[in-house]
Amino acid sequence: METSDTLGAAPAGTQADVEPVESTASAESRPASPRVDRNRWILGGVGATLVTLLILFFLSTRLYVYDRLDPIAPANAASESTPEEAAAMAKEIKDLESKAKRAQRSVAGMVPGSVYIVVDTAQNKLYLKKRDKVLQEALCSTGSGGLLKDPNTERQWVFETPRGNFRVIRKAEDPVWTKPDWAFVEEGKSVPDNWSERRDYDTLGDYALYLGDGYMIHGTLYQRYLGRAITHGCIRLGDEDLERVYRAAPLGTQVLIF
Amino acid sequence: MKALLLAALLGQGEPLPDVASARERERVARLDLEAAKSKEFYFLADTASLTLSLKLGGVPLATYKLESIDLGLPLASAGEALSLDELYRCVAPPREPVEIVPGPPPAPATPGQDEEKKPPVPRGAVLTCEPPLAVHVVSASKVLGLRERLRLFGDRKDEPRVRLVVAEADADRFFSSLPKKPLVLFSRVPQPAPESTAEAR
Repeated sequence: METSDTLGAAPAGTQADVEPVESTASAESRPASPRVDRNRWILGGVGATLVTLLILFFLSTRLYVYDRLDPIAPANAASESTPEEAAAMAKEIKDLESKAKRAQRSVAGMVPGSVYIVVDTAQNKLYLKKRDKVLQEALCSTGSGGLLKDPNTERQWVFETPRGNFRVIRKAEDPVWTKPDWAFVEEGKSVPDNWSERRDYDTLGDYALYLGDGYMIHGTLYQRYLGRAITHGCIRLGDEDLERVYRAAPLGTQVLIF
Repeated sequence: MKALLLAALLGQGEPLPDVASARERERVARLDLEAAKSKEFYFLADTASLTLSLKLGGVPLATYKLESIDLGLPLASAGEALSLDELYRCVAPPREPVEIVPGPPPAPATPGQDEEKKPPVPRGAVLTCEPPLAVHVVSASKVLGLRERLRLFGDRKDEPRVRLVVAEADADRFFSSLPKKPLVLFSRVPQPAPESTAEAR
Protein backbone atom coordinates (compact mmCIF):
# COMPACT_ATOMS: atom_id res chain seq x y z
CA MET A 1 0.00 0.00 0.00
CA GLU A 2 2.67 2.38 1.07
CA THR A 3 4.55 1.76 -2.01
CA SER A 4 1.61 2.49 -4.23
CA ASP A 5 0.91 5.76 -2.38
CA THR A 6 4.46 6.88 -2.74
CA LEU A 7 4.30 6.15 -6.43
CA GLY A 8 1.10 8.05 -6.86
CA ALA A 9 2.24 11.27 -5.09
CA ALA A 10 4.97 13.66 -6.03
CA PRO A 11 7.72 14.32 -3.50
CA ALA A 12 6.77 17.17 -1.24
CA GLY A 13 9.92 19.18 -1.79
CA THR A 14 9.76 19.22 -5.59
CA GLN A 15 6.12 20.11 -5.85
CA ALA A 16 6.69 23.71 -4.72
CA ASP A 17 9.62 24.09 -7.10
CA VAL A 18 7.76 23.02 -10.17
CA GLU A 19 4.50 24.60 -9.35
CA PRO A 20 4.65 27.68 -11.60
CA VAL A 21 5.88 25.53 -14.44
CA GLU A 22 3.26 22.97 -13.75
CA SER A 23 0.57 25.58 -14.04
CA THR A 24 1.81 26.68 -17.48
CA ALA A 25 2.30 23.15 -18.60
CA SER A 26 -1.07 22.17 -17.47
CA ALA A 27 -2.52 25.05 -19.47
CA GLU A 28 -0.71 23.90 -22.59
CA SER A 29 -1.47 20.29 -22.07
CA ARG A 30 -5.08 21.08 -21.52
CA PRO A 31 -6.92 19.49 -24.38
CA ALA A 32 -8.00 22.11 -26.92
CA SER A 33 -11.59 22.34 -27.79
CA PRO A 34 -12.50 20.48 -31.01
CA ARG A 35 -13.33 23.78 -32.75
CA VAL A 36 -9.88 25.34 -32.06
CA ASP A 37 -8.22 22.13 -33.14
CA ARG A 38 -10.13 22.09 -36.40
CA ASN A 39 -9.34 25.77 -37.06
CA ARG A 40 -5.67 25.04 -36.57
CA TRP A 41 -5.84 22.23 -39.06
CA ILE A 42 -7.66 24.39 -41.59
CA LEU A 43 -5.19 27.26 -41.21
CA GLY A 44 -2.27 24.86 -41.47
CA GLY A 45 -3.76 23.26 -44.55
CA VAL A 46 -4.39 26.59 -46.26
CA GLY A 47 -0.87 27.75 -45.45
CA ALA A 48 0.70 24.55 -46.73
CA THR A 49 -1.37 24.74 -49.91
CA LEU A 50 -0.32 28.34 -50.51
CA VAL A 51 3.34 27.52 -49.95
CA THR A 52 3.06 24.50 -52.25
CA LEU A 53 1.39 26.61 -54.94
CA LEU A 54 4.08 29.26 -54.62
CA ILE A 55 6.82 26.65 -54.93
CA LEU A 56 5.09 25.09 -57.93
CA PHE A 57 4.70 28.48 -59.60
CA PHE A 58 8.35 29.30 -58.95
CA LEU A 59 9.48 25.95 -60.31
CA SER A 60 7.18 26.13 -63.31
CA THR A 61 8.81 29.36 -64.39
CA ARG A 62 12.31 28.03 -63.88
CA LEU A 63 12.13 24.38 -64.74
CA TYR A 64 12.22 23.51 -68.40
CA VAL A 65 10.72 20.62 -70.26
CA TYR A 66 12.82 19.53 -73.22
CA ASP A 67 11.58 17.91 -76.39
CA ARG A 68 13.60 16.69 -79.32
CA LEU A 69 13.26 19.12 -82.23
CA ASP A 70 12.57 16.98 -85.26
CA PRO A 71 11.97 17.77 -88.90
CA ILE A 72 8.34 18.54 -89.59
CA ALA A 73 6.28 15.47 -90.19
CA PRO A 74 5.17 15.27 -93.82
CA ALA A 75 1.40 15.18 -93.97
CA ASN A 76 -0.37 13.68 -96.90
CA ALA A 77 -3.88 15.02 -97.17
CA ALA A 78 -4.41 13.91 -100.75
CA SER A 79 -6.72 11.07 -99.98
CA GLU A 80 -8.98 13.29 -97.86
CA SER A 81 -9.03 16.39 -100.02
CA THR A 82 -11.44 17.31 -102.75
CA PRO A 83 -10.08 17.73 -106.27
CA GLU A 84 -10.32 21.52 -105.86
CA GLU A 85 -8.35 21.42 -102.63
CA ALA A 86 -5.79 19.11 -104.13
CA ALA A 87 -5.37 21.43 -107.08
CA ALA A 88 -4.99 24.48 -104.83
CA MET A 89 -2.46 22.56 -102.77
CA ALA A 90 -0.50 21.59 -105.85
CA LYS A 91 -0.45 25.20 -107.02
CA GLU A 92 0.74 26.42 -103.63
CA ILE A 93 3.47 23.81 -103.57
CA LYS A 94 4.59 24.79 -107.04
CA ASP A 95 4.78 28.47 -106.04
CA LEU A 96 6.67 27.66 -102.84
CA GLU A 97 9.15 25.39 -104.62
CA SER A 98 9.74 28.06 -107.22
CA LYS A 99 10.40 30.72 -104.54
CA ALA A 100 12.68 28.36 -102.62
CA LYS A 101 14.73 27.52 -105.71
CA ARG A 102 15.07 31.20 -106.59
CA ALA A 103 16.35 31.99 -103.07
CA GLN A 104 18.71 28.98 -103.11
CA ARG A 105 20.11 30.09 -106.47
CA SER A 106 20.68 33.60 -105.10
CA VAL A 107 22.59 32.21 -102.10
CA ALA A 108 24.65 29.90 -104.32
CA GLY A 109 25.41 32.89 -106.55
CA MET A 110 26.96 34.72 -103.59
CA VAL A 111 29.84 32.22 -103.39
CA PRO A 112 32.73 33.98 -105.15
CA GLY A 113 33.28 32.73 -108.67
CA SER A 114 36.91 33.86 -108.64
CA VAL A 115 39.67 32.78 -106.28
CA TYR A 116 39.04 33.57 -102.62
CA ILE A 117 40.73 32.81 -99.32
CA VAL A 118 39.18 31.21 -96.22
CA VAL A 119 41.04 31.28 -92.91
CA ASP A 120 39.96 28.90 -90.14
CA THR A 121 41.36 30.38 -86.91
CA ALA A 122 40.25 27.39 -84.84
CA GLN A 123 42.39 24.97 -86.84
CA ASN A 124 44.97 27.50 -88.04
CA LYS A 125 44.42 26.59 -91.66
CA LEU A 126 44.18 28.70 -94.76
CA TYR A 127 42.30 27.58 -97.86
CA LEU A 128 42.61 29.01 -101.33
CA LYS A 129 39.28 28.28 -103.00
CA LYS A 130 37.31 28.80 -106.15
CA ARG A 131 33.57 28.14 -105.79
CA ASP A 132 33.40 24.93 -103.75
CA LYS A 133 36.80 23.65 -104.88
CA VAL A 134 39.83 23.84 -102.61
CA LEU A 135 42.85 24.84 -104.70
CA GLN A 136 45.30 24.89 -101.83
CA GLU A 137 45.30 24.09 -98.13
CA ALA A 138 48.03 25.43 -95.87
CA LEU A 139 48.93 25.51 -92.21
CA CYS A 140 49.04 29.03 -90.85
CA SER A 141 49.33 30.85 -87.55
CA THR A 142 46.63 33.20 -86.32
CA GLY A 143 46.08 35.50 -83.35
CA SER A 144 46.81 34.19 -79.86
CA GLY A 145 43.91 36.05 -78.27
CA GLY A 146 46.34 37.29 -75.60
CA LEU A 147 45.87 40.57 -73.76
CA LEU A 148 48.80 42.97 -73.41
CA LYS A 149 48.68 45.92 -71.04
CA ASP A 150 51.12 48.78 -71.16
CA PRO A 151 52.41 49.09 -67.59
CA ASN A 152 53.17 52.81 -68.11
CA THR A 153 49.93 53.90 -69.71
CA GLU A 154 46.33 52.76 -69.78
CA ARG A 155 46.65 51.25 -73.22
CA GLN A 156 45.93 47.61 -73.89
CA TRP A 157 45.79 45.34 -76.91
CA VAL A 158 44.04 42.02 -77.59
CA PHE A 159 45.88 39.96 -80.19
CA GLU A 160 42.98 38.45 -82.08
CA THR A 161 42.71 37.81 -85.77
CA PRO A 162 39.65 39.79 -86.84
CA ARG A 163 36.76 37.66 -88.12
CA GLY A 164 34.62 38.54 -91.07
CA ASN A 165 34.75 39.35 -94.76
CA PHE A 166 37.87 41.22 -95.93
CA ARG A 167 39.59 41.97 -99.21
CA VAL A 168 43.23 42.13 -100.25
CA ILE A 169 43.71 45.89 -100.49
CA ARG A 170 47.48 45.94 -101.16
CA LYS A 171 50.25 43.51 -102.03
CA ALA A 172 53.96 43.88 -101.48
CA GLU A 173 57.15 41.93 -102.15
CA ASP A 174 59.91 42.14 -99.52
CA PRO A 175 57.57 44.03 -97.21
CA VAL A 176 58.94 46.21 -94.46
CA TRP A 177 57.19 46.14 -91.13
CA THR A 178 56.76 49.38 -89.27
CA LYS A 179 56.61 48.09 -85.73
CA PRO A 180 53.67 49.46 -83.74
CA ASP A 181 53.91 50.48 -80.08
CA TRP A 182 52.76 47.11 -78.75
CA ALA A 183 55.78 45.38 -80.31
CA PHE A 184 58.03 47.36 -77.97
CA VAL A 185 55.72 47.18 -74.97
CA GLU A 186 55.53 43.40 -75.29
CA GLU A 187 59.32 43.14 -75.15
CA GLY A 188 59.48 45.43 -72.14
CA LYS A 189 61.20 48.15 -74.14
CA SER A 190 60.39 51.82 -74.35
CA VAL A 191 58.59 53.02 -77.45
CA PRO A 192 61.14 54.84 -79.66
CA ASP A 193 60.62 58.44 -80.77
CA ASN A 194 62.70 57.89 -83.88
CA TRP A 195 60.58 56.42 -86.66
CA SER A 196 63.54 54.62 -88.26
CA GLU A 197 63.91 52.46 -85.16
CA ARG A 198 60.52 50.97 -85.92
CA ARG A 199 61.45 49.60 -89.30
CA ASP A 200 61.92 45.83 -89.51
CA TYR A 201 63.12 44.26 -92.76
CA ASP A 202 63.05 40.57 -91.84
CA THR A 203 59.96 39.63 -89.88
CA LEU A 204 57.28 39.65 -92.61
CA GLY A 205 59.05 37.27 -95.02
CA ASP A 206 59.02 37.63 -98.80
CA TYR A 207 55.44 38.73 -99.43
CA ALA A 208 52.54 40.44 -97.72
CA LEU A 209 48.87 40.74 -98.59
CA TYR A 210 47.32 43.65 -96.69
CA LEU A 211 43.78 43.32 -95.34
CA GLY A 212 43.48 46.75 -93.66
CA ASP A 213 43.90 48.10 -90.12
CA GLY A 214 47.46 46.75 -90.00
CA TYR A 215 46.39 43.12 -90.49
CA MET A 216 48.02 41.09 -93.25
CA ILE A 217 48.89 37.67 -94.55
CA HIS A 218 52.67 37.40 -94.48
CA GLY A 219 55.62 35.07 -93.96
CA THR A 220 57.37 34.13 -90.77
CA LEU A 221 60.75 33.45 -89.25
CA TYR A 222 59.10 30.90 -86.98
CA GLN A 223 57.89 28.23 -89.37
CA ARG A 224 57.93 25.58 -86.65
CA TYR A 225 55.03 27.42 -85.01
CA LEU A 226 52.76 27.11 -88.04
CA GLY A 227 49.48 25.55 -87.05
CA ARG A 228 49.42 27.39 -83.73
CA ALA A 229 47.59 30.48 -82.58
CA ILE A 230 50.55 32.63 -81.61
CA THR A 231 50.45 35.81 -83.67
CA HIS A 232 49.40 39.34 -82.82
CA GLY A 233 46.45 39.10 -85.22
CA CYS A 234 48.15 38.70 -88.60
CA ILE A 235 48.04 35.45 -90.54
CA ARG A 236 51.44 33.85 -91.00
CA LEU A 237 52.20 31.33 -93.73
CA GLY A 238 55.17 29.18 -94.64
CA ASP A 239 57.40 30.42 -97.47
CA GLU A 240 56.12 28.17 -100.25
CA ASP A 241 52.46 28.49 -99.35
CA LEU A 242 52.83 32.25 -99.08
CA GLU A 243 54.30 32.52 -102.54
CA ARG A 244 51.51 30.44 -104.08
CA VAL A 245 48.81 32.45 -102.33
CA TYR A 246 50.52 35.71 -103.28
CA ARG A 247 50.65 34.70 -106.96
CA ALA A 248 47.10 33.33 -107.05
CA ALA A 249 45.26 36.10 -105.17
CA PRO A 250 44.98 39.37 -107.03
CA LEU A 251 44.07 42.70 -105.46
CA GLY A 252 40.46 42.67 -104.32
CA THR A 253 40.47 38.96 -103.49
CA GLN A 254 37.89 38.15 -100.84
CA VAL A 255 39.30 36.85 -97.55
CA LEU A 256 36.80 35.17 -95.22
CA ILE A 257 38.13 34.70 -91.70
CA PHE A 258 36.21 32.71 -89.08
CA MET B 1 -12.49 23.08 -114.46
CA LYS B 2 -8.80 23.91 -114.20
CA ALA B 3 -8.77 22.51 -110.68
CA LEU B 4 -10.38 19.33 -111.84
CA LEU B 5 -7.88 18.99 -114.64
CA LEU B 6 -4.99 19.46 -112.23
CA ALA B 7 -6.46 16.96 -109.85
CA ALA B 8 -6.86 14.50 -112.65
CA LEU B 9 -3.28 15.05 -113.71
CA LEU B 10 -2.09 14.49 -110.17
CA GLY B 11 -4.23 11.45 -109.80
CA GLN B 12 -6.59 11.46 -106.85
CA GLY B 13 -5.40 9.34 -103.98
CA GLU B 14 -1.81 9.50 -105.19
CA PRO B 15 0.71 10.70 -102.61
CA LEU B 16 0.97 14.48 -102.93
CA PRO B 17 4.10 16.48 -102.26
CA ASP B 18 3.63 17.80 -98.74
CA VAL B 19 2.58 21.46 -98.38
CA ALA B 20 4.09 21.81 -94.93
CA SER B 21 7.48 20.60 -96.20
CA ALA B 22 7.29 22.97 -99.15
CA ARG B 23 6.47 25.89 -96.85
CA GLU B 24 9.35 24.99 -94.57
CA ARG B 25 11.75 24.65 -97.52
CA GLU B 26 10.71 28.08 -98.81
CA ARG B 27 11.02 29.65 -95.35
CA VAL B 28 14.51 28.26 -94.80
CA ALA B 29 15.69 29.30 -98.28
CA ARG B 30 14.25 32.80 -97.81
CA LEU B 31 15.87 33.28 -94.39
CA ASP B 32 19.14 31.77 -95.64
CA LEU B 33 19.20 34.47 -98.32
CA GLU B 34 18.29 37.17 -95.80
CA ALA B 35 21.10 36.03 -93.50
CA ALA B 36 23.55 35.81 -96.41
CA LYS B 37 22.76 39.40 -97.38
CA SER B 38 23.28 40.61 -93.80
CA LYS B 39 27.09 40.24 -94.07
CA GLU B 40 27.11 38.66 -90.63
CA PHE B 41 28.07 35.16 -89.56
CA TYR B 42 25.13 32.85 -89.30
CA PHE B 43 24.41 29.32 -88.20
CA LEU B 44 21.99 27.01 -89.91
CA ALA B 45 20.88 24.30 -87.49
CA ASP B 46 19.46 21.45 -89.50
CA THR B 47 17.26 19.04 -87.60
CA ALA B 48 17.23 16.47 -90.42
CA SER B 49 20.99 16.03 -90.83
CA LEU B 50 21.77 17.10 -87.23
CA THR B 51 24.40 19.55 -88.36
CA LEU B 52 25.22 23.14 -87.57
CA SER B 53 26.62 25.04 -90.55
CA LEU B 54 28.53 28.28 -90.14
CA LYS B 55 28.15 30.61 -93.11
CA LEU B 56 29.12 34.11 -94.08
CA GLY B 57 27.71 35.94 -97.07
CA GLY B 58 26.22 32.67 -98.29
CA VAL B 59 29.61 30.92 -98.26
CA PRO B 60 29.67 27.75 -96.14
CA LEU B 61 32.67 27.95 -93.82
CA ALA B 62 32.37 25.01 -91.46
CA THR B 63 29.97 22.26 -90.48
CA TYR B 64 29.71 20.81 -86.99
CA LYS B 65 28.04 17.54 -86.13
CA LEU B 66 25.30 17.71 -83.53
CA GLU B 67 24.18 14.95 -81.21
CA SER B 68 20.79 16.51 -80.66
CA ILE B 69 18.67 19.62 -80.96
CA ASP B 70 16.18 20.02 -78.14
CA LEU B 71 13.56 22.64 -77.57
CA GLY B 72 13.02 23.63 -73.95
CA LEU B 73 9.97 25.44 -72.69
CA PRO B 74 9.23 26.59 -69.14
CA LEU B 75 7.13 24.00 -67.35
CA ALA B 76 4.31 26.53 -67.14
CA SER B 77 4.08 26.84 -70.92
CA ALA B 78 5.27 23.39 -71.91
CA GLY B 79 2.13 22.65 -73.88
CA GLU B 80 2.45 25.70 -76.11
CA ALA B 81 3.64 25.30 -79.67
CA LEU B 82 6.77 27.17 -80.72
CA SER B 83 7.67 27.32 -84.37
CA LEU B 84 11.26 28.67 -84.20
CA ASP B 85 10.68 30.18 -87.62
CA GLU B 86 12.54 33.46 -87.10
CA LEU B 87 16.04 34.54 -87.97
CA TYR B 88 17.44 34.97 -84.48
CA ARG B 89 20.03 37.66 -83.74
CA CYS B 90 22.22 36.30 -80.99
CA VAL B 91 25.06 37.42 -78.79
CA ALA B 92 27.69 34.96 -77.55
CA PRO B 93 29.36 35.41 -74.17
CA PRO B 94 32.76 37.14 -74.36
CA ARG B 95 35.87 35.06 -73.82
CA GLU B 96 38.39 36.11 -71.25
CA PRO B 97 41.76 36.75 -72.90
CA VAL B 98 44.94 35.42 -71.34
CA GLU B 99 47.16 38.27 -70.20
CA ILE B 100 50.63 38.53 -71.67
CA VAL B 101 53.43 39.48 -69.34
CA PRO B 102 55.73 42.01 -71.05
CA GLY B 103 59.37 41.09 -71.16
CA PRO B 104 62.18 39.95 -73.41
CA PRO B 105 61.19 37.36 -76.03
CA PRO B 106 61.52 33.74 -74.88
CA ALA B 107 64.67 31.79 -75.61
CA PRO B 108 64.73 29.65 -78.77
CA ALA B 109 62.49 26.65 -78.50
CA THR B 110 63.88 23.50 -76.99
CA PRO B 111 62.64 20.18 -78.34
CA GLY B 112 60.36 18.53 -75.82
CA GLN B 113 59.83 21.75 -73.92
CA ASP B 114 58.29 23.62 -76.80
CA GLU B 115 54.73 22.64 -76.00
CA GLU B 116 51.87 24.77 -77.15
CA LYS B 117 50.17 26.73 -74.40
CA LYS B 118 46.62 26.85 -75.64
CA PRO B 119 44.23 29.24 -73.98
CA PRO B 120 41.33 27.31 -72.45
CA VAL B 121 38.47 26.68 -74.85
CA PRO B 122 35.01 26.72 -73.25
CA ARG B 123 32.85 23.61 -73.55
CA GLY B 124 29.55 25.41 -73.35
CA ALA B 125 27.98 28.76 -74.14
CA VAL B 126 24.60 30.42 -73.90
CA LEU B 127 23.67 32.65 -76.83
CA THR B 128 21.10 35.27 -75.91
CA CYS B 129 18.89 35.97 -78.87
CA GLU B 130 16.24 38.30 -80.16
CA PRO B 131 13.32 37.47 -80.60
CA PRO B 132 13.65 36.06 -77.09
CA LEU B 133 15.39 32.72 -77.22
CA ALA B 134 18.35 31.29 -75.36
CA VAL B 135 20.52 28.91 -77.37
CA HIS B 136 22.46 26.65 -75.04
CA VAL B 137 25.35 25.02 -76.83
CA VAL B 138 27.26 22.31 -75.01
CA SER B 139 29.76 19.71 -76.04
CA ALA B 140 28.60 16.12 -75.80
CA SER B 141 31.02 15.35 -72.95
CA LYS B 142 30.08 18.41 -70.95
CA VAL B 143 28.59 17.53 -67.60
CA LEU B 144 27.06 20.53 -65.92
CA GLY B 145 28.43 21.22 -62.48
CA LEU B 146 26.29 22.32 -59.57
CA ARG B 147 27.35 25.94 -59.97
CA GLU B 148 26.37 25.98 -63.65
CA ARG B 149 23.08 24.29 -62.91
CA LEU B 150 22.32 26.90 -60.27
CA ARG B 151 23.30 29.66 -62.66
CA LEU B 152 20.98 28.27 -65.33
CA PHE B 153 18.28 27.94 -62.70
CA GLY B 154 18.57 31.63 -61.94
CA ASP B 155 18.73 32.71 -65.59
CA ARG B 156 15.88 34.38 -67.40
CA LYS B 157 12.94 32.10 -67.09
CA ASP B 158 10.28 33.27 -69.46
CA GLU B 159 12.08 32.64 -72.75
CA PRO B 160 12.20 29.38 -74.68
CA ARG B 161 15.49 27.56 -74.96
CA VAL B 162 17.12 25.49 -77.60
CA ARG B 163 19.82 23.08 -76.54
CA LEU B 164 22.37 22.12 -79.16
CA VAL B 165 24.69 19.29 -78.17
CA VAL B 166 27.82 19.46 -80.33
CA ALA B 167 29.60 16.19 -81.03
CA GLU B 168 32.74 15.95 -78.93
CA ALA B 169 34.98 15.66 -82.00
CA ASP B 170 33.79 19.05 -83.26
CA ALA B 171 33.42 20.86 -79.94
CA ASP B 172 36.91 22.36 -79.87
CA ARG B 173 36.56 23.73 -83.40
CA PHE B 174 33.10 25.08 -82.71
CA PHE B 175 33.84 26.90 -79.49
CA SER B 176 37.15 28.27 -80.80
CA SER B 177 35.50 29.97 -83.73
CA LEU B 178 32.16 30.92 -82.20
CA PRO B 179 31.37 34.38 -83.61
CA LYS B 180 30.46 37.16 -81.21
CA LYS B 181 27.13 38.06 -82.79
CA PRO B 182 25.89 35.26 -85.00
CA LEU B 183 22.47 34.91 -86.54
CA VAL B 184 20.79 31.56 -86.00
CA LEU B 185 18.33 29.85 -88.28
CA PHE B 186 16.61 26.52 -87.66
CA SER B 187 15.65 24.21 -90.48
CA ARG B 188 13.03 21.51 -90.00
CA VAL B 189 12.91 20.48 -93.63
CA PRO B 190 12.58 16.69 -93.76
CA GLN B 191 15.32 14.81 -95.51
CA PRO B 192 14.26 13.72 -98.98
CA ALA B 193 13.03 10.17 -98.99
CA PRO B 194 15.55 7.78 -100.52
CA GLU B 195 14.63 7.04 -104.12
CA SER B 196 13.24 3.64 -104.81
CA THR B 197 15.80 1.27 -106.25
CA ALA B 198 13.16 -1.01 -107.69
CA GLU B 199 13.61 0.38 -111.20
CA ALA B 200 17.34 0.10 -111.06
CA ARG B 201 17.26 -3.55 -110.15
